This record gives sequence, structure tokens and C-alpha cells, in this order.
Amino acid sequence: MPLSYWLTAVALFHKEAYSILQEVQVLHGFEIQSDIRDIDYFKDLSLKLGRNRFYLDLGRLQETIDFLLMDKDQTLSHGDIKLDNLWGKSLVDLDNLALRPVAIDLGGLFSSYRIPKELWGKHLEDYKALSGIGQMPLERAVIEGVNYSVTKEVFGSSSRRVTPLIERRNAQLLAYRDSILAA
Amino acid sequence: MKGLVSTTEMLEVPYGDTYINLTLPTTFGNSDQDEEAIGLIKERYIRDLQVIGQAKSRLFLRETRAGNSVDVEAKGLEQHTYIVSEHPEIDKPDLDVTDRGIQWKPNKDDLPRILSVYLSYLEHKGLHLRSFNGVYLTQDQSVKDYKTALLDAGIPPELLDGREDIWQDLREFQKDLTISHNLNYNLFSLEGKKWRLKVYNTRDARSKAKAKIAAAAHYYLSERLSNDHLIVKSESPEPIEVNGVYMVLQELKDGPNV
Repeated sequence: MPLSYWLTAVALFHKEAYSILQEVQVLHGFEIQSDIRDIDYFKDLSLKLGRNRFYLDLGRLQETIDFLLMDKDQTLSHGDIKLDNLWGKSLVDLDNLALRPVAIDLGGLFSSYRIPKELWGKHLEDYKALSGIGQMPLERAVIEGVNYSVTKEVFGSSSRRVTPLIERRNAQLLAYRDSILAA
Repeated sequence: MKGLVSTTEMLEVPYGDTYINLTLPTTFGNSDQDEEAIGLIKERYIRDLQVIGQAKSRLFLRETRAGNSVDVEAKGLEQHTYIVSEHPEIDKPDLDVTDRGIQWKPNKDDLPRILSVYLSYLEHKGLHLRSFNGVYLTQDQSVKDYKTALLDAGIPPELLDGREDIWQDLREFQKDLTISHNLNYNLFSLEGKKWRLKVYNTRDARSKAKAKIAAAAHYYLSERLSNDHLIVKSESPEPIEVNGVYMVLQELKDGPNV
């Protein structure tokens, strides 16, 4: 499916999912929580993978985490948007649902499609119009969302079973993240 | 000649995007009971039959990629597992996996899946097997519990028969080994039906919470979001709980995005 489909889908999800699940959470004994991993989570993963497996700029990542913690554009978000979870017309694997900045899902989506930063403007305008979310300047937030989501995906997936496909995708994600952070 | 093990028959087992060709030992396939077992395996796994020869008390695996059969001699074997049998007829048959001249290199993650095909045949014969490192390969009661729960949830049996990888992981979860992350399996039928099975360790609080929210979210959001294609439905708003392990099933529509 084209990016425009997923952008609409994510906007709709951000707009509606929280209130729907608030109604049912008591029935099923789960709690909707906030979730942004702290720097120690990434340090641990990095140690687990072995020194120098991937370069991790802890200072820059801390800056990202600090920014996202202050971000006011938060709602119930998927939290693990990647190509594996964009299946046909469906967004699958909802087990990372939590309250967090929408920029993390948008960062995951733009990274999956490797959208150059100069093309973000129109997409973010569309997203804001559909979701009604965007109190803060979204573009700056999505830069941080790209750094967070790509780092989390690459370090997380590399600590489990790594297939050649995952290895290739991770290399592409890292190259994309670095290009966005350098822009 | 009766049975599968003649010079003109072999098994071709679906394996990811490719197939593994499999020849059973000549000591099998000479009775009506074997005939029945072979029929069962054929029904579930065989796409085509080709001549690759025969061998006594040995199991040879070969791979066919994209319909082009790769003729590989069973020499230079790099990996092997000895299966000890309590059945005198097949005392110590070897299982050898060839990797010479083909791109596929088996590793410990692949082997259980291949073994399970062999075992489905041997189990049908009522044999009790263990590998030489002592790990029991036949299905135990806990596997039957998991399997029953998944069958009850609507998964076709043929998708579960060859998945020793799943059962092995579930056993480890059950024993509370150090696995804290969830596991993920795609189950695809030849008719094009697809499920994603996610497995969570309930002894890990975070993993348990993830399973609960995933099951409820898939169940309710699939019904209530304005875009009714966006979220696939889970079987139930609660995870399926078996032996202290949570499982969440998503029935996938269409194909992967890429």
C-alpha cells in the first residue's frame, strides 16, 4: 500500500483508538500506560550485542528521549511501526500500544518508506488535518521519532534471531536515520 | 513395490519459499501400516515425486529451489543428528543434512522443523524417539495442550504439524527459562490462509501486559475503528492461556506490504 494509505491509517488510529480502548480496559484487566524507553534500555541492548556491533550515539539519543518526554502531542500509539507490521491493508501486532508521542509512529512510518525529509511537509500537513493532532511543530518531533524508532528497532531486532532480511533492513534503517539526523 | 521407500518416490516438504526433498530409509514402507503413514505424510506435505535413490537406515534431505532440483550427493555432511529408536527395525538411523552445492545451510533453528516431518512419520508408527543429546523429540503432553488450543482457535492442523520450533519455544517458556521477549510465528496454509501467532511469557510482567492489551485491542479495534480493514481481529479479547503461556492469534488478510 502507498504511504498515503498508511498515513491516513495512522492518523485515524491516533484519533480513535485511545477512547475505544479506554472503554474496554477495565473488562480485561490491562492498563493503558505511558512508554518511552530510557537510555539504560539502549545501553543494555548495546552491551548485549557486543561493543562496536552498531555505533550508538548515547548523547544524541538522550537528547531525543528528553525531547520526546516533553512532547505534548501524545496519544495511544502503535509503537512498533515497521514493514513487518504493515500487512496488506492492516496494521498488525498491537502489543506495544501505549501512550507516547505520535512522532514515534510517524518516525517509524517514514523510516519504513525512507521518505526524504524535504518531502515530509505535505505528509505532515495531511496527518494533522486527519488526526487533529499537532500542537507542537511536528517536523522537529518526527526527526526525534525517527532516531528513537530506528534505534529501538535495530537494537531490539538484533538481539533476537537475525535473518539476512532483517540485517539488510536494519542497514537501510540506520542509513536513513543518519541521513535525517545529518540534514 | 509397496510403500514410499522405493527407487521412484521421495517427499518434497514445503520449507519457507522453497522445498526440502526427503527420502525415507528403505527399512520403512513395506507394510500396510507404513502405507497408511505414507499416505498421511503425502497428503500433508508432498507436492511432487522424483527419483533420487534409496539408502538403508538413513534419511537424506535435499533441497529444490524454485522448482529446479539440485542434485546433491550425500557426501561431505557437515551436520548430523543421531536418532535413537526403541524400535529394533530402525536401530540408530541417522539423519543427515547435506549442504554441499546448495545455498541453504541448516542451523539449529532449521533442524527441528525438518525433524518434525520425519517424526510425524515415525510417531505414526508408534515409535518413541530421542536425539542422542537426550532431548525428547516426540510430542509430549504440553505440546498436545498447545496444539489443541490452537486447533480450537481455528488453525488448520497441517500448519501445526511441522512446527517443532514453536513447541520447543513453548516448552522453554513453560520451564521459565530466561526468555522475556515475545515470540512471533507466521502460519501460512497452501490455500493462502495466514495467521500470526504471538507467544508471551506470563511470568514476565511486561510480556504478560503486552499480551492482554494486544488481544483486547485486536478484538475491539477491529470492530470499532472507522476503517474496518485496519486492524485484524484476534480470536478472543483475552489471550489464549495454556500451561502458563499466553498466545494471541491474528488472522492476516491479504499479503505482506513488501
